[in-house]
Amino acid sequence: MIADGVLIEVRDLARHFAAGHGRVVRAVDGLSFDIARGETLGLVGESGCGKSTLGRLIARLEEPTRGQVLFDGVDLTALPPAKLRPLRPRIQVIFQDPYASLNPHKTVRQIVGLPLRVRGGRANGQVRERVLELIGMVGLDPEHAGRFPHQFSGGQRQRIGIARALAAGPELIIADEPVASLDVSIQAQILQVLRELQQRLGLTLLFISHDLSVVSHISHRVAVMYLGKIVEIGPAQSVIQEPRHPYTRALLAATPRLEPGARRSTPLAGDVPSPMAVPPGCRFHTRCPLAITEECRRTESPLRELAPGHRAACHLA
Amino acid sequence: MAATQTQPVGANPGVRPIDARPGTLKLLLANRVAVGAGLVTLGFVLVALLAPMLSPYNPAEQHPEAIRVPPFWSPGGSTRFLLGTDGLGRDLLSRILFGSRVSILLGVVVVLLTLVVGACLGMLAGYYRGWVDTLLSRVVDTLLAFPFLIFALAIMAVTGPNLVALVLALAFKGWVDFFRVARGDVLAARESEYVLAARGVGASNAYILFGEILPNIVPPLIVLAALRMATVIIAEASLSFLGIGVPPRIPAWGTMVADGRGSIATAWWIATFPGLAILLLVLSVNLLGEGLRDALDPRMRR
Amino acid sequence: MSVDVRHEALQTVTKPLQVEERRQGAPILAVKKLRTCFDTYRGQVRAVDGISLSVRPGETVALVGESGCGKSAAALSIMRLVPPPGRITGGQVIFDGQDLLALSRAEMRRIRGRRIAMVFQDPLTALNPTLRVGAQLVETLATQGAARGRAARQRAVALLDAVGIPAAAERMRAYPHELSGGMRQRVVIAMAIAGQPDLVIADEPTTALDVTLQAQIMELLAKLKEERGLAILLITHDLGIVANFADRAAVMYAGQIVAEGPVADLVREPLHPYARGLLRCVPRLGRPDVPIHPIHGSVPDMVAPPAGCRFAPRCPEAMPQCRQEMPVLKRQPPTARTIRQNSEGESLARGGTVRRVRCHLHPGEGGNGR
Repeated sequence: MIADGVLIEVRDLARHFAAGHGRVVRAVDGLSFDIARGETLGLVGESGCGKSTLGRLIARLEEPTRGQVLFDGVDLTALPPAKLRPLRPRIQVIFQDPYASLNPHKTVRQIVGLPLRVRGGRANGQVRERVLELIGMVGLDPEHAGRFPHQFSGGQRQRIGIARALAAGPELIIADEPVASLDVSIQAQILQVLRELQQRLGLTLLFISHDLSVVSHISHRVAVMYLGKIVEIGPAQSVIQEPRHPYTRALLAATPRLEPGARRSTPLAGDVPSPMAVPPGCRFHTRCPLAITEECRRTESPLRELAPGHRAACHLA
Repeated sequence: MAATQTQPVGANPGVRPIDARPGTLKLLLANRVAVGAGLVTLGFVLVALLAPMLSPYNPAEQHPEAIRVPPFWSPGGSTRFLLGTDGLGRDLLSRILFGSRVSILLGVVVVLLTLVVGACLGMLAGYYRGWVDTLLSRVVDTLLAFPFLIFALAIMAVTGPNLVALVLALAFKGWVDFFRVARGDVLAARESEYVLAARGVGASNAYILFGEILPNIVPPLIVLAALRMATVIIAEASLSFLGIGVPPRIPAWGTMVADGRGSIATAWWIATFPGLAILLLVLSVNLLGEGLRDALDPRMRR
Repeated sequence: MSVDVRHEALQTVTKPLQVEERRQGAPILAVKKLRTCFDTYRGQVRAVDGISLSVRPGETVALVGESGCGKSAAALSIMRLVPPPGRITGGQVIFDGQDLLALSRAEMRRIRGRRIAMVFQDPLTALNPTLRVGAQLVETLATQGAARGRAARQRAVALLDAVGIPAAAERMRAYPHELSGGMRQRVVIAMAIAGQPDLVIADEPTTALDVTLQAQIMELLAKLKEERGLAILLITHDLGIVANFADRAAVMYAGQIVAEGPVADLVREPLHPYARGLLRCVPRLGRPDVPIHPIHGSVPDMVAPPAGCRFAPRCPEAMPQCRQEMPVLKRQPPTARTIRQNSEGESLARGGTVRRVRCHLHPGEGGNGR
């Protein structure tokens, strides 16, 4: 199922924002991982953990503070804009908000056709034909091509966003919370469309979500983010069945399950610290339910391999 | 990895049109005040275009035998001069009809000029930010601190009343409003996800600015243009009233009000009718602008 | 303030004695055939189309459905807070023996806050950003005539303490924006229970929160329900929350209740095809062997809802009858599973045994349609 070779290599990637008064928001704080060709990597974390920023850094819609993103061996962070533009269609983003991500003044035909026109090499008639083919692939009717975004429901708009991404002919799709704003029945439709297209077209997928159930359903591997760092990464089943990091365990415990009366024990006290004041040492130690040690307070554990392909950043794991 | 039961991806998801909102034009037409204002404005435009055909006399023609004739319904009035004559015996109706030309022409020219200049600079500042934005924003702040009337007085005192100088004086600060609206909207739009998506497929800056962002900032600019039009007409009339606007040989409402000011107690009509014309035109342009704003504002749509 | 005083204040806040006796009693809220319409450009939308449900003291009833199904309109209708162009066009809302729809506006205002409280999705808009949270709580207590001055301050601290806000006395001086999302929702809940209401209507109370905070807030609501015998009407789209925290659930679709009954029955043995479909849409954590099956299509256009059963166009089991004749909500006979469960006593403890379904596939036990 997974083709050989690494498509994306992220090395010590960081994005810090100045927040005024000399404070710095460490949204993404130096992380490294790979995504293999044809693989789905699920990226899960709570709001403010930096997962969306990470997605945009990989697509280079934001400039990193430091670190590298190697796409098919090419360092995207080192490319000047002129060299980057021809590469852009190969990495596409599907955004969370199906309302904000479609230009309200453009028809579906114009929206889905844009990547085709930017790539060039197609006559107008061919563009129109390809647009109809693409909107058929995501399950919309050809007769919808002339309509404007506000004439569609949230799920349909998300399909338009997927069609636009496919039009660019991408190898990597970064799906940033693509189903977070959708109802559960529509969410299931979109997940199904994404999975089937991924398999049919051999796409590589970075699937970003706050919902561990959704992520574990669609991903081969799962990475868990906390305060700008990956604290655990590994095969989906391994991470869900045998979580090594206490934060992953807490997330799992807090995720509602369809078992009547299965009251969850309150998993974590307090809130996520501000990314402007990341705790020293292990960044999770202020909320960690384990018996933390002096080492936890002082040094940050690197990601250590605890099972085949399964790594966690915890001194106590 | 979990398996999903296979369903054709192309299965029609039961699309239904959910367009429950009437279009802009329909909303505008449903607003009776705006429709009325639009008709009155249209009437003024037609009058300005057809003034030579509608006017009974040449506006400059003096009738020495008929100085300060009152309107026809007043005692001493005559149907020869429907709205009476001024102190030089010129037909008031003809002068008012011709006076609409200068008000509307100056309004349109000044608004178009300021719209283009302000919107272009605003879009550049909002999109590229950096030093362009800093520089232009400083200029705008300076202009805002500059008293318009003193500037206009100075410029007209130097050049004397002439139309080109008048346009420049009126446009001098007028573009600032367009600049601010365009800059703000572009600033918001450039961070929007649809712009990110366009950048993400490799679209050029020029395409993003004019192809993606521009259509979204046109509606507020149109509304602003209509509201600015009213302001410009008032400003032109004020300057003309002060004698530093339109050259005296061209009939203008502001000049006419000034002419009639001295004899308001004895010949009230000379200042009153041009004054009413200013009021009516400015009011209807303003109401039309507000109607447009309501119709274009998405919050007004349910 | 001494610890003793605070404890005393807390005692007056909680009412432990009557809890058991209230839980046994009749429903505190009984909604009967409630209808609410919205007039739109395209025609009338029957957002709430004749729903009936009841909530007993000490019970959490979930009103669950997807967006646009009318669940929030139903909650607002019960509070008589439907914004124009919406209006209530029929039915009854019997609260503690009196029909809320028949009360004067002044009488209704006395019910809101004091006897029925609401908790909304976004805690930030529910709090005044310019006032300290302590001042808002004291103000709430004063308007409800519960306490004034020093006593009100003590009660406010006790309330913040009761909803699990650490260092409550210090947090009294905080502005809403200085608190995290989870803390703000706790403050909103503290304000909701300040008037010692009998019923709390919680409209998507945790949707804006992260899962770890979501768990904390739902635990808090469950605790308050147990301790005070509160009745909770929980409006949510999240089936996981329903399964974990509700006793009974009513599933809404296109303005109608299509299934109603104990949560255990709904989750383990959903009878209505829509309820079954919804459950099959949810990815199961750690169960990659359980596939997800989308419900095809989308919710109907409520200006012109389909004839017959409103779910029929999307229903994989629809029969010709379903497209012609609207089914009624009918009481269902016990199944082998519910009989076994009842003998084990589980169903009785949580949510009773009665279940109703609006579906031609389940003709039910005759005339008990509501």
